[in-house]
This record gives sequence, C-alpha cells and structure tokens, in this order.
Amino acid sequence: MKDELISLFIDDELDLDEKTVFVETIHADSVFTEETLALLNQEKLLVTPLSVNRSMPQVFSFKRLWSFQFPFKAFAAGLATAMLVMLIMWPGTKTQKLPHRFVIFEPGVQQAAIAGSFSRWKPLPMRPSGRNGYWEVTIELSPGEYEYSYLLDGKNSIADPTVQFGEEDDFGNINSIIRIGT
Amino acid sequence: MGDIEAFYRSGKDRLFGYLVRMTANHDLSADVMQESFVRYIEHYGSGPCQYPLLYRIARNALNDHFRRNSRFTCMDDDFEDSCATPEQTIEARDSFQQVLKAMQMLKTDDREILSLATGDGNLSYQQIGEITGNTEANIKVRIHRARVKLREILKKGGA
Repeated sequence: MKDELISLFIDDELDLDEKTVFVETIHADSVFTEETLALLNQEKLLVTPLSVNRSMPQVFSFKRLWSFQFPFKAFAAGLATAMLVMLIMWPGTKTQKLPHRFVIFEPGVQQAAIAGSFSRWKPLPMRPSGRNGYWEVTIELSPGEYEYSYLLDGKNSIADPTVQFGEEDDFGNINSIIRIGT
Repeated sequence: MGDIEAFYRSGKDRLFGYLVRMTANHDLSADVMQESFVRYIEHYGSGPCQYPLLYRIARNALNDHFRRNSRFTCMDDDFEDSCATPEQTIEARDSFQQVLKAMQMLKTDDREILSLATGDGNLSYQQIGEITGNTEANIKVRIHRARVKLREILKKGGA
C-alpha cells in the first residue's frame, strides 16, 4: 500500500494524512526513497512536452447551430428561411467568384504548378508567361481564405514569396495564406 | 465558437501527448487527435467543454483505428522537445524514444492508464476513472503497478 503513495505523490493525489505517511516513509526507508526518485526520473521522460501543428478542424454541426434557446430558435429559423427564399428568388445573388492571378518567377524550372485548399491540394499546372521565367495561372475563387503552395518540377514545394502569411503543414512545408474578397 | 477554439488550443497538445504515449506514432496521433475534436464538436460542441468526454472519444477513435488496421503501428523517430537547446533536444529525444518503446511493451490497459495519468495538465484519478470506467480506488492501484512495470522493462533494457 505504501508503494502506491509514490504514484499518488507523482500525480498530486495525496490527501493530508497520506502526505504525512509519505514524508515519514521517505525519512525512514531508503529503498522507498530510491524507488520514488527512480519513478520521478522515469516520469520526467514521459512528460517530455509535445506539440502538434494542426489547425482547428472546421466542423459544421446542426446541434451547435441549434443550441440557441427558444424563442431565439424560432426567430433564427424564420430568418434563415426568409434569407434562403430571398437567395433563391433574387437574381444575381449567387456567390460571386473572383478571378485571382497567381504568378511566380522561377526561370530555372521546366514545370510549375499550384496546389491549394481550393483544388483539394490537387496540382493545377501553370503556364509560362513570356520567356523571362514567369509562370502564371488564373483561378476563379469564391470569397474566403485559402492555403496554397507552388510545386516546381513536380517535386519541390515552396510558399509564395510574395505573400506575407503562411502556415507550416504536417510535412514541414510552409503554405501561403491568402484572403479573397474579404 | 470561442469556447471551442480555446478548448482546442488548450487541449490539443495534451490529447496529442496521450495518443503519442499510446501509439508512439506522430502522424497517427495527430490524425486521431484531430478526428477526436471533429467528433466532439459534431456531437457535443454546443455544451460545456469536458476533457474526460474528449479523451473517451479519442480512446474510441484509437480503438477504431486498431480494429481497422490490426494493432500494428510504426514508431516514429521525429519527436522533439518543444523548448530545449539542440543538444538537450537530441538527448531528450533519445530518452523519450526509449521510454516510448518501453511503453509499447506494456499491456494496453496499463499503457492507457499511464498515458492518461502522465503529461502536462494531467487528468485526475477521478477523471481517469470516468474515462476508463474504473473506480478511483482501482485507478490508484493500477497506475502504480503500470509505473513499476514500465520501470522493470526499462531496467531490463527491454526497450
């Protein structure tokens, strides 16, 4: 039973009486003390701080959407219906896609492509713009935020050097982040 | 949404740590961590944030993975201590790899209970009991046994 005090001590689970017994045992029993120190050192190895670089998943949840209290629920439902009807009936209110031109200067490569959240990370080929090493592609994008990177010669992924914001992905590559129309 | 974001920020590394200790696999742990948050937000995102519930979901997600892919997972060797000098990092990484290998030699129940008890912002015995469906008294005994077994494995150089 006393041995379990070591784990209770490590995990901050000792009550006052147990603390007393623990301290008394530490003073009286050198084997107990050695065991405590050994398990503390083992614990230090286990608690090596770890971090993971993943952004928060975007989840659409009807439950969360519906978590308001009545009568807000009724109001929200009415408003949503009215807006839906307006969207369907009103001409020209479809989400406007905006053309965005991506350009990169890479004179030393044979192929350039762009892959991003807008293409589900499928590479889209870019075409040479003149003969000076510029590559370009124009993509129609709905307003929003997108991550992307350029793929050179089908293997080297690089961030857009003209864009300030970026985020590291799980493979250690930096993806650029742009906002369109917002 | 703000609460969930704060919950994600404060909980993701802790949950990831638990999963790494369980699997010794970085990518799998990151995937299961994210999948667990997706499941949590989908089903419980409108309620108060509860760590035991999140860990139960992660535990189920991990079990699902093992059922689909048998028990086999590859160990990674790219774990890094996030706040250490390069020399400390190499030393700590080697030690951590060693202890992770030893963890994988524990029985699943022992590894799980120790993984839950260990780490930054570790869970209380009561919370671990809620997650694993055991009494607090039972958790007290089992955690210490698991620690001692891990020490024996490390002493024998089993890792």
